[in-house]
Amino acid sequence: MTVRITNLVKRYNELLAVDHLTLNIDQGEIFGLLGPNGAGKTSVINAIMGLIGIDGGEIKIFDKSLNDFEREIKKSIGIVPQDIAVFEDLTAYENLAFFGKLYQLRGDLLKKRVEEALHFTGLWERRKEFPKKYSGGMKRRLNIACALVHQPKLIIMDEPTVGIDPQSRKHIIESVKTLNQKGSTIIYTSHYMEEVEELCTRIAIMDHGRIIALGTKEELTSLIGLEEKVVLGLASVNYTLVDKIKKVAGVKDCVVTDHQVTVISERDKGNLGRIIDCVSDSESEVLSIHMEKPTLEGVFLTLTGRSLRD
Amino acid sequence: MIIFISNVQRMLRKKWNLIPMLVFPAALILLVMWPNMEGTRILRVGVVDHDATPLTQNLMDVLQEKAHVQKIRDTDIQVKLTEDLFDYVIVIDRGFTGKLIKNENPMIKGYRIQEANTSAPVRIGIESFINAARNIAKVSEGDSDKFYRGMKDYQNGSFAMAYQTIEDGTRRKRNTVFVMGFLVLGMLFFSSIAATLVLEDKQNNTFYRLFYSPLSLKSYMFQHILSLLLLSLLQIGAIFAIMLLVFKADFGPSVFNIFAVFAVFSLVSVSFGLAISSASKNKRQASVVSSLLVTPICMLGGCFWPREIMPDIMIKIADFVPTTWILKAVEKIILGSSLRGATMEILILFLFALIFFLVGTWRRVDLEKL
Repeated sequence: MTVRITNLVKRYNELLAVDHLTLNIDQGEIFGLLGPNGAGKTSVINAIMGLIGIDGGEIKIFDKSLNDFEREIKKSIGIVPQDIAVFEDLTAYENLAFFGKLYQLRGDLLKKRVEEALHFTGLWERRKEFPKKYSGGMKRRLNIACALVHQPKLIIMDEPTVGIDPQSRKHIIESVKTLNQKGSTIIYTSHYMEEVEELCTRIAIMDHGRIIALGTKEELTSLIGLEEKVVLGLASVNYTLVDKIKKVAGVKDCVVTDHQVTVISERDKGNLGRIIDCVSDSESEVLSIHMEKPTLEGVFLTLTGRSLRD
Repeated sequence: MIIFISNVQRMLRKKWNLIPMLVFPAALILLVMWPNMEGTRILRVGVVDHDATPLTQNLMDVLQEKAHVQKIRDTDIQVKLTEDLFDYVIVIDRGFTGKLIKNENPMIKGYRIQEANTSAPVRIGIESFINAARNIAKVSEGDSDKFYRGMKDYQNGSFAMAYQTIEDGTRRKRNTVFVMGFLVLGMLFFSSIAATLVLEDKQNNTFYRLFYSPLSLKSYMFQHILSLLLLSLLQIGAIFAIMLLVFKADFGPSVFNIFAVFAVFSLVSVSFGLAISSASKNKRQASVVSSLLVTPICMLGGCFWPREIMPDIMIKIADFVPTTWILKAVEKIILGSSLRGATMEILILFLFALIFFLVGTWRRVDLEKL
């Protein structure tokens, strides 16, 4: 077990930021931590990093108590903070060397690790430049490189792709996958649901300091419904067609509005083809098809009452 | 010591930091000292040595420490003085040493072109040397070997010698004390700027990121303060070097003692900088606060003018600023006092350093703001 949090409590005066939270993260996972602003994600991350005192519970990382082995544990954790935190007056290389030294890397090993981290984030060619000359995406990558230079076993990425171009985002997503393949355990928070869906093996949704849902993407989406919706734009609609669709196995309802037919059916029945056959038989023409399956965004919205980007 | 090294590198790398550190105080010192450069040049002394004994050679060696000494002939005296090639010429007659050992009262003749104070140190130096030689001759009772042994002991420092200030030297020393005020000003400004490195790091979030690593807050603060102290000492060293090598400033009997007093003041200036950075939300605010505080503190302390010209009430208020005490200590030491003689001033400086340090560190860094 890489992270074991038991009954964690954190208060800020009257505010209960983390409410008896229990969470286990296995080695090799990419664990998604979702929650609206103020849900307690950052408090949990800071507690894991030993930056804040806790009011109750226990945190074990790499099977060692954080309370007793904080310095030792920290050597094996890398964190990519949400806000870019690099020295503007040091070059990219110097930034990495600085952070490497903070983790007791010295000499040839330091040089090797710095070089590896710069290659990994695609910044080697521009290592001698100061961050102020970098684009937003490059700064983000440097922000990540600084967390990877000591090759941590546990990497915490707090919104690592905020405000960057699609190319840099793609690069970062691929990097996260590669790091995970190399054996790192990753805790990933993001406002971009598609990233979480693509990357995370398990996801926890937090609200009001508690975990309100935890599981794989499929397990979470199954929480909010067993149906899917198909919306067909048609050249012409008649009631014979509606009757035929309703008779398709698994279809629960079919509603007509103007030239649009909305079909509600059981999930994963694979009856889209049969519905299109019905349209063909009734000598109509399909102009558009739109399928809506339960999504994490929907899960989040349903459970927290807020959109992830609120 | 990564924070210590990195801080020093980062501060020295920013070229504009050299302005408050070196350029600003050096420029002010230049403005004040340039007109007095003539008065600070090394004296040129000509010696006509008809006696040529080890004693006269010793005398020339002693003079060499304070002046540029050159042997000349009788016939050159007038020409060399009128052409301003020498400030002072002495003539040692044949038999001078013998007479002195026999307890007679031989004289050294001195020539100068004008009644200038500049030759006073040489005259007093010669007088002091000859007086010492006479005293040793008295106890040697005409024994030449005993006399030279005594002289050797004298030169090795076995004899106590009081430092005497003379009119021209005092003026130069007061001048040095005055320009030291600009160094004090530069130190306070530079330390205020250097200490805001923490604020800069907080603004760009790197400060908080440091503590994700195994680095502790205590270690960070220790290294941060150490780096500020080193920078402050570098500043003192550089300004001293400029004053000594370029302006030939007179630091009195011991440059080391003056440096030591300034080293104590560096504790004050660094703590002062910490207090300002602790009380400020960002770099800009710290810059404004330091400007608002440093200038009046320096005015009151006598960095820009002698304290004596201020009204009594202001002089009394000035006792509550550290600049008063550093300049008092510097004045004492440059004018001949030992470090022990400035104990009270030094202790008061330590007290100021402690107060500023406590003000600068009582507010715990709130990592929970993360």
